Amino acid sequence: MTGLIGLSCAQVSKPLPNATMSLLTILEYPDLRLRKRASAISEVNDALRRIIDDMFETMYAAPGIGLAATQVNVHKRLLVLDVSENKDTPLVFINPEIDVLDPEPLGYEEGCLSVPGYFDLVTRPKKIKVKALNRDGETFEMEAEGLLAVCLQHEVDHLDGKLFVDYLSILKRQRIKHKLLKDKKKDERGESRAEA
Amino acid sequence: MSFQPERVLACHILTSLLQHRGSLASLLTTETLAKAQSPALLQELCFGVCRWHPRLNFYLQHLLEKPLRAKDMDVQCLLLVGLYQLLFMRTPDHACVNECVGTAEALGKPWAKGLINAVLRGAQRQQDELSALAERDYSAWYAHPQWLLDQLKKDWPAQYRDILDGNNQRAPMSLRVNQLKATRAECHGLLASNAVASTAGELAQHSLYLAQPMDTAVLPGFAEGMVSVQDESSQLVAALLPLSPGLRVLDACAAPGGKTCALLEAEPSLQVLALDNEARRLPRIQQNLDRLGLLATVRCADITVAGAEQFGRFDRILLDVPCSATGVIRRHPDIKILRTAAEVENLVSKQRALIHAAWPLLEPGGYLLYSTCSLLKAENTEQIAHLLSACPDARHIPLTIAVATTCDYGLQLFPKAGGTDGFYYALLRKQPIAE
Repeated sequence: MTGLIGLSCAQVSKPLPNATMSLLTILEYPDLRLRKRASAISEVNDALRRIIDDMFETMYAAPGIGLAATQVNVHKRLLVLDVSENKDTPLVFINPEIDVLDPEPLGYEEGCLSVPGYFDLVTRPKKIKVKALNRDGETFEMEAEGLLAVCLQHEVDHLDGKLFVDYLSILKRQRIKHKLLKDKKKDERGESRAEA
Repeated sequence: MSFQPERVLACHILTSLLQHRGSLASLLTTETLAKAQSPALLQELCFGVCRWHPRLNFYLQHLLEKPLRAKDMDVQCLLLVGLYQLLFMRTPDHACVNECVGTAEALGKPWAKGLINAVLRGAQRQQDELSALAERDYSAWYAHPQWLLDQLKKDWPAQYRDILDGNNQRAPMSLRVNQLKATRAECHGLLASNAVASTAGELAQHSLYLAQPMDTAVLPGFAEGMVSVQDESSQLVAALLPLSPGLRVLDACAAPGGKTCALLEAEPSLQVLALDNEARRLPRIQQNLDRLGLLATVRCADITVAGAEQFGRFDRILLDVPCSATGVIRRHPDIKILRTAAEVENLVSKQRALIHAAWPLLEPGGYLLYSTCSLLKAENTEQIAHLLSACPDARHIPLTIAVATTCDYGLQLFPKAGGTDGFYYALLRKQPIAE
């Protein structure tokens, strides 16, 4: 169901040796920084690979299946994801470019680490092709359908400052926004969200 | 991107189920499962809560100070899921309680957080007391609705405890090897070469049990029509109905076609007419026939409605009637929640009507195999007694299967851990005219 087509082992991201990783803070809607357009990456170096590793750790801990750099306040065209059930297929996409192969709409109940607790149906093209750089700076291409296609499009949207709630009705979006702002205020007053 | 937690999805499904807006089969669809990151966990939560619902609900009523309002069924389901995870899945306590409390928000019921915390912590503290209380309440302890428990005890006084235990087990996944395409040993080899462990069933000649259930989409040999998924008990119909080449056979309630196909695999020259009264279930029969490379005529018809004579007479009839499905509770644990005693009464009359409609369609000298996946005598041996008294040209032919229990008429299989579902068969012969 992950819809991996022609995935080679070289694309699977392995962390830097001996690196200590750390959890990054995920920005939450309606934070305006989520609206920034990310800029292209000119060089894939160790500093970038460190960010990639931290992003993976943050994504797995959340837990999520995809994370765009924009969500951790890094405004570069970079995203990580792992749609495998066993969480053993980390994929990284640098400067991703998407082409639609099959425009037939596929509906999926999406959720987002930047919009915690909300899920709604979003329709996107069913099959896509993505071209990107891997963590070694090499170009690769991949076809994707199913959940992988959904997740890739969701994350590339982030790099363009777009969120899945933008596909919902304005009424729903407003309701989610107010709810999350209210939760944030509660957090700031020191009340834990998990206990009433 | 994030996934909807399995717990939230399970709450939505169980809420619909408890409000009688669907069954596990209709609610827990492939699409719903795909919404979860771990479809296996979602399935486990939904099946587990249904399987243990009478016990979990008993605990819940003891832990709640006052019953929840009808509109808070989702909160009730969340509590049942939490109790199931705590008491049956051995989910670490702190993780379970915190996650359930967090789920209240996702259900839009933040007011319930305190309640959820209190109930689940209470369950943790009072685990021993709760078990002791449940042990004194039959329905809770055996996790069966009272009416069904009473009926099983009445029908099977010597066996009912084993039956109840059998119903609470998880069902194994068993396959029927298409003998036209491969032998059981060949199929076992194919599975083994794909790292799928299987063992031969003891009762049905072409049966294999998988060590682990798996999706048919990735089951080796499935798409090629080499194997089908079918309980061993259902496979036995092909061995119990005497078959010979070219006979005219009626499968009067055929959908989804598993038994139709089993008969044709055993004797491909049979002229089979497969009927079902639900049009939406017919494509499944045809799909199964096509996948297995078998031929039969498939029609939407109800033999209890006038006009059945148009189909002519048959040498063999398989009458696998709609029933309470009390023999397959381990596969459909939502039966414990959805089925009522009144429904069983309706089913008994429906079965009787089917028997009366089928009998005249049988050629003199022909055989009719009556089968159900029920454990209740009213649907089984009593129906055959009725048929024998109503149709003077009907003869009961005794059957034998190792491990089956012989009834006044016919044979009863009970659900057995690692073995068959609960199932009933009776073979009848219409007296030849010459006799």
